[in-house]
Amino acid sequence: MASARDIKRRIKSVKSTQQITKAMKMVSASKLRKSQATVQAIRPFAHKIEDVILSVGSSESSHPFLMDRDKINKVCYLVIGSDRGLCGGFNSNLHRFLDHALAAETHDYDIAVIGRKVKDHCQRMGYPVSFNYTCIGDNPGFYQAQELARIMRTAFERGDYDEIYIVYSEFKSAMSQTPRIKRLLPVQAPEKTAASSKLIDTDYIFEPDREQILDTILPQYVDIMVYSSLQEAKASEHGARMTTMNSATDNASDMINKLTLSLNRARQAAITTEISEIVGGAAALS
Amino acid sequence: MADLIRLEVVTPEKEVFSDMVESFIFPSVMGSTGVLYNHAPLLTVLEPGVITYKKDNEQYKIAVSTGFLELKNNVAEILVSSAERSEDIDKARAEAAAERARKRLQEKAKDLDQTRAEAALKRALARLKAVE
Repeated sequence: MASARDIKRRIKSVKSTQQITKAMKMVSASKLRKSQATVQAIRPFAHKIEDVILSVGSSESSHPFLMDRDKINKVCYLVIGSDRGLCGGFNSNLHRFLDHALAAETHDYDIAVIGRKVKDHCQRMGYPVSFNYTCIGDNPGFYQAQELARIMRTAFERGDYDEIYIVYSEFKSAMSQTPRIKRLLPVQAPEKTAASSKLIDTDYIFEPDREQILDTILPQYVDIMVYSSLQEAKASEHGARMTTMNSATDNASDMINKLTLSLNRARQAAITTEISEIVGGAAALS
Repeated sequence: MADLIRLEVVTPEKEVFSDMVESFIFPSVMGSTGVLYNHAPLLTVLEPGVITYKKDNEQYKIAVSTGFLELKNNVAEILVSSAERSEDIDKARAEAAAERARKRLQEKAKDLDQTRAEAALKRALARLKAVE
């Protein structure tokens, strides 16, 4: 049995680990709140843009961002993960999802990577990484998303890629995040809803004309899609980290309880031995 | 005055402005356009510039970058990449940005993205115009 001193030392180290996990949990919780607010702030903007794209008549347009290309030579996957670990299954779920998607991909592909963990994974698996961007921060600004979207748009326009997909973690709740894939380019025309069809019926004056409006709106729509995926991925990351750190803190408590128990037992054993020694000594004297 | 228009200026990050106004002028790609009560439904593209709106006989300004405007039933929604109300603009910073963009355009470096530099200059100038 370990000596009482060893156990005491052990308890101390578990306690300090618990302090760290508790602090990380708290930090993630506050970051999560911030991210969640941003995710919600984007939604009305995104919906509005979708409505407008519909009402401009995206179905009749032959804008290059809307047209499926006849021949697909190369596709690109933009994978959004995290820079840091300690967030439970967040990254490994995403990696497994990506592996599956790539295994099913019949075309030639490239991968654009956000987040150090994803980059490491891709290098390990030997995927062709065309571009990587790490240290995006905990609350990426819109300008960062714009920059990213611009890179993707130009690559698409140049014909480097014929299709671009985003792979990210969808934020459902702090407990659950599911990896998802969606097509960034060519833009999939948003679905009609009751609210948007009312909008379409309005007889707008289009200035200067529909095509030029699409020219401005579609790139913005791409920006928004990148931005909202980034934010969702970040919210998922914070959520995953919060949950993981919460269970780590609980585990540390359990461990401390167990260790305290064995510490008490060890102390008790030491006392018992001592008493029996004294009694034995006294008996020998008489 | 009872006839008011609802003006909303929204960026992906937040709602910058939302209030009832008497009238407003916005920088469309076709030139500066004014909107009064009961304007016909309109969908148009904005240039970086300044939105001027009138409320209680006072004029206020908001600097915006590219985006678009949707106007219907006296509700105007302006969706832009970035927007700042004149009282939030840091004049010194805007001046520095304008200077930087101008310099980049003059130097004509090889890897210069002409349209991007021009857009940056336009944005900075719009911000400056709003604080004046």
